[in-house]
Amino acid sequence: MRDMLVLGGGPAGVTAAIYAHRFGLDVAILTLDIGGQPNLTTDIENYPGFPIIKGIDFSKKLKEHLEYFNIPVEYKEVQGIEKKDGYFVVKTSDGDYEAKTVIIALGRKPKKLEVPGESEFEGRGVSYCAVCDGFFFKGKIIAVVGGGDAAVIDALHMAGIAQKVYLIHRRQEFRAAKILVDRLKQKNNVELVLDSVVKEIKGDKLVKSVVVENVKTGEKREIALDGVFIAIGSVPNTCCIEGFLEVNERKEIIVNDRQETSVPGVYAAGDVTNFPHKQIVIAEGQGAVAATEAFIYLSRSGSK
Amino acid sequence: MVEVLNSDNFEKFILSADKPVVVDFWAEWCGPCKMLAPLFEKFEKEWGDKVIFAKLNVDENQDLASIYFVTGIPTQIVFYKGEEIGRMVGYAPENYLRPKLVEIIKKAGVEVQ
Repeated sequence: MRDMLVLGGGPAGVTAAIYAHRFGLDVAILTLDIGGQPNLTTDIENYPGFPIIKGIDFSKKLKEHLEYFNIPVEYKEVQGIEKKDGYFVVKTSDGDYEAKTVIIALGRKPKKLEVPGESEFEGRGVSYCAVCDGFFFKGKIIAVVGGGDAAVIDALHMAGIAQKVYLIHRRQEFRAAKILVDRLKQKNNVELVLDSVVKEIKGDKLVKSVVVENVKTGEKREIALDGVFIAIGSVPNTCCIEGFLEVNERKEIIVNDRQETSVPGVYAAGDVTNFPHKQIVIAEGQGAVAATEAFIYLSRSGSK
Repeated sequence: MVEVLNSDNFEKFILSADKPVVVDFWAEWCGPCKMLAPLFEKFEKEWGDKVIFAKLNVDENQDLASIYFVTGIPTQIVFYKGEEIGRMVGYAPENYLRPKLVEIIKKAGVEVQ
């Protein structure tokens, strides 16, 4: 049995595993990928020490760091956790894994718009990953939906690829960092469609248009385009562990400032938790705290 | 074994295959494609005697991506006798993808679990 299993291979999970390894713990990561959400973004400009780094390159660095310490990574899908007498069993699609402590760092996945046409045209013009799919829209007309950092970063990325970019946002003000919004306003092929929500995505074999409604005037408008990139936020990956520990109304794992969950011996870190700010550096800080607390827990229980 | 397809061999391969062919449209820069890769290999190990698994790099074969209306990756298209019989788009967990793929492959008269 291992000392620790880390569930998830994003910034929080990788940091937790590195710290645990350096404490001398026998740790492994169960995950679908290394990198997590940074894999879905283009340029990261707020990670100290790296003025600008591509999301995918950042993930490569995380992978290199795990390889440097020979930390085992099992590419498995977590399906549940059970508490036994003094240890935990993590269920995956390919068998069970046992450990004395568990750190949950499963991150988040993109939220859906939930409008007609969205699921029908996924992969036929509707995308949740501009860095993955932007390439298919060279010289085309597209819309990005959302008003946070992710949406504005996607719009900036697409402005360099597409002929024209509409940024559809339900409010007048952006939540995104001012520096990003200012850059966006300088792009002459970006049109802001504010106070507006997408009501429907239309097309035949591929997307042909979106219907947007102005939330203030109720006025509807149909915009002809080739693609729609949805960046309206995310939901935590807690589907398979609900019921095992306490989550809030947004299904985020409730943690205290030591990253402890409602189950002793189980910690959570990063965007899967109820901590309000979702950032790489914050996730990493939480991962380090979680691993340190787990080490103290193991020491106290006489296991280490 | 997972076959590697490109614009030169694609059509011939799809048409001449006597089993259903699952083609994974992917690219190096696509994180979700990497998440799907181990699952794709797992299915290949389990079903390899009844189903052919192949990969197509969309970056190097943009023409094929556009012919098949692929505008998002990962996308898996299942072909049988040269015709598309179904597709799956985006990364999803195994308990969602497996039954969907089983259902599509069934259209070719092939039973997998």
